[in-house]
Amino acid sequence: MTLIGIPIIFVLISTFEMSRGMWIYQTLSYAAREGTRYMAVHGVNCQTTPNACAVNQADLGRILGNATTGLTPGDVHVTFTSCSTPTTCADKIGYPPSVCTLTQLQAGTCTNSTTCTATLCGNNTCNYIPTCGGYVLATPISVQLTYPFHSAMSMFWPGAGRGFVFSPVTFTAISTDYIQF
Amino acid sequence: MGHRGTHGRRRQGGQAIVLVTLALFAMCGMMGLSVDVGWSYYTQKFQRAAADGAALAAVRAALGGGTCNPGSTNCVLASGTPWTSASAGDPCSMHSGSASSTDPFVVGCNYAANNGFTDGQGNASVFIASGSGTPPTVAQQQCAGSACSVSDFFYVTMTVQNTVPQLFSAILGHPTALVAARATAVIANEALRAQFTLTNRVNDPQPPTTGDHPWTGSVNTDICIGGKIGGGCSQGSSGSHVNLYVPGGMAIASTSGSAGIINGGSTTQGPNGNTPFTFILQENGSASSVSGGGTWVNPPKPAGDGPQFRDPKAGVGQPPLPTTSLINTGNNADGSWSAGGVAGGASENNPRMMPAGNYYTDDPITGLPKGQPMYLSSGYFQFGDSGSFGTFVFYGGLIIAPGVQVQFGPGVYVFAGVSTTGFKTSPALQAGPLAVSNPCSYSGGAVCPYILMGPVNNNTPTVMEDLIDPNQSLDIPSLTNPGELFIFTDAVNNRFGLNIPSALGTSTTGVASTLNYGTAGVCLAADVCDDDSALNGNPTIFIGLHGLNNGVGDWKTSYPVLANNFNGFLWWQDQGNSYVAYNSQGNLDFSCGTGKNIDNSCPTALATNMSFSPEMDIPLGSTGQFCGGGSTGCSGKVEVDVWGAIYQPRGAWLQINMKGSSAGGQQYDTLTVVTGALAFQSHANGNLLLNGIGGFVTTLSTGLVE
Repeated sequence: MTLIGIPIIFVLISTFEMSRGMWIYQTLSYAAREGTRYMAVHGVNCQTTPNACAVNQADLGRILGNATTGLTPGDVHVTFTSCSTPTTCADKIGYPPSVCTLTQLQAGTCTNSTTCTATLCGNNTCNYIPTCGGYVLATPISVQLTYPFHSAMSMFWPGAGRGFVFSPVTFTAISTDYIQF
Repeated sequence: MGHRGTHGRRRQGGQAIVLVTLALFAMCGMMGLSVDVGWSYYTQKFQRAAADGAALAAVRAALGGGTCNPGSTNCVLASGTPWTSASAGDPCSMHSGSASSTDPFVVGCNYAANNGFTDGQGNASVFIASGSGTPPTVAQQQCAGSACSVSDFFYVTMTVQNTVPQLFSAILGHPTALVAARATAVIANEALRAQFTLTNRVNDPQPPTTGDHPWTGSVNTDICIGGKIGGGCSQGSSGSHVNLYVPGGMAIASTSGSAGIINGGSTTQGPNGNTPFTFILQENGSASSVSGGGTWVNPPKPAGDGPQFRDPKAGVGQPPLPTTSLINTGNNADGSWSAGGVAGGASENNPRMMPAGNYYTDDPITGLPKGQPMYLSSGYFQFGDSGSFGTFVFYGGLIIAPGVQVQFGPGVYVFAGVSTTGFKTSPALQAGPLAVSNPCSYSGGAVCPYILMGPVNNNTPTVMEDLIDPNQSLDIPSLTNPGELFIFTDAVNNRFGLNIPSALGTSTTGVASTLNYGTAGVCLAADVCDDDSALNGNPTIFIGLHGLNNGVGDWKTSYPVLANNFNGFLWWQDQGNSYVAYNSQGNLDFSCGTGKNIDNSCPTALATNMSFSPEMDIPLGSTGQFCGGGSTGCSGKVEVDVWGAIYQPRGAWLQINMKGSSAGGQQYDTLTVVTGALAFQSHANGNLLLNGIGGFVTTLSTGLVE
């Protein structure tokens, strides 16, 4: 019984953990796509009067929060990149890379490339103002999400416990789109 | 013991089955959940792509097919049903059609079908909704703490949904789940993509190279930077050099090897940086390039065809006038003014008030109209007032005598043609202080200026400036000034629907039938528009004007099409005054023959005899001297401080003249330019340092907003 039970338990837990991992990754991937798309459709033209659809990081945080059901918001790390390093713009549609002198202008203490947790993003009201030299549309933006995955398998690993901490596996999902509007 | 052992084994014998069974339930449940969720994500990914593409295809069909003409009205298609919280719009089964259909609804639904989602087939439902203004699906979202809004002319919302069978959830009584994706695309204004948009293509009739004021670039050159006025753009280092700083970049539609010429010593550089980009259209292996001995600090880059190379007002048409039913403002019995001259007020604080309406003149001898220009002979004038947004129409042109100061209130100023005969016989030009021998001649024909300003020797500057904000900042739009728009057109073609005063006849009879296109912009006496020989006196010419600003005042509410589509414009040249034909929607005319397209469109009648030069002249002066003929020691100068945009149709051209100085005169302006071709030249060395006007000037575009 023991010889059967132990592998069954491991198989069972492994199956469960792999499914949970896939769930998390799928959720991250979905959230990254949703976040990128959301920012892509609220681009430079939203800054132009009479349009009033400009968004800020809090909006992005809200979208990501809604899309990351089942994940701990404080553990979802977000890197939003708009017209700034590390985006190289090499693939900017129809335009040579040298054109793309890219900055993301934001007020206050906001930085060019925003890295925060979904929770902190939700508290950040820095406006999203993409500017890329003289031409902004079709410029790539990206949202990268990372999430630490602590597998329950670590509890059963020989030697696990005090003094031996299992490193979490970091799941990363990144989505890139072009500013649409 | 053995008994107990046997009994124990017997008691433990089924445990594995129980464990495995329980494990199988859990594993099957987990697997089912993964399959359900994974399949839903998978389906939605394709739904999203299909909805995005279908919505974009629909609005592009509306824009390209001419079914949407936002220049005159919002383009809500008759069959469109708006999205509501209770209804996603029309099922696509209501909008079936062939693949070649141009109906935006059919195009959108076909696009979704081609991507695997056909309404009513399988378990798919596809809906299409449309309308104008902020889409309801966008309005229900939050943008930076407020409800989102998008000012669009037409939107399409596509909803794609599937009923997906469930594995895991079926156990719980949910055999199916609804998976859906939604996308909304709009036709809306977007900011202009380049600060200088130069639209002439190689097959277009080229600007004239002879006459009083010839084009100085080469054939198929779209921009000529540098070269001495009266010389040629390719004059080389023997001419003066200029520095042109255009922070919003340039787009050149010519595919010639000399699409741009920069004269020796000239640069595209300013103290605040370099012109960040210049794109040159490249197609079909063309040799698109630039030439000359000057320096493009950021070398021009070839790029494929796109909106940045095209007339940004295509499909929009021309600015509608606030009103066309106007009073005749003159103090003569028939409402005309005397062509002999109109005296102004005694001071800037006590100007002569000039109301909105028609302005035309009667000959002082015969008492009959001859198409002579309105002549402001002395003193101070104020057109309009700060509290209204008026329409002012000048038949025959406007002359501002030396020392006269004119302020323009908010509104639209229409210059409805110039009569060559009338202009030349104007008392101001025959016997007045402006007396010039040949006020308007061009290559055997004649083109007279719409606006002619002094000066001669006089201690009072000659001024045309804003009423509200004469000392505006050039860097930002005025916070208090609705601005003004100057339209340069004619009475013969009357493309703006003017109600011509009866005393002038009609577009085909009487004086009005002689009021043709002139040289747009502002010309300086006396060597008309050549800015060369008669500025040797003391007075200063000052021009300080501000383009339309729909962020100030309530005129936007009264004239929404003008405010939405033509914001930022200051000078507008009629699309009929061009060598390239436009239709009434502002699109290129392809109706003159087969095989016509954007690279080979129809010419106008003007191009056949070239007796007119479809030209605008802007004397962007300098804070240095602006004197004539290379003379030295003169102290007159021209200062032009403008905020706004210049529009000329493709097939027209723009001459920007600058005096400069040996030390390098400076001129700062906030200017966006849309024209066919541009020559920027200087008498001496000069720097033209521009600011962009941001998102004020717009072009129609399609894009996803949700």
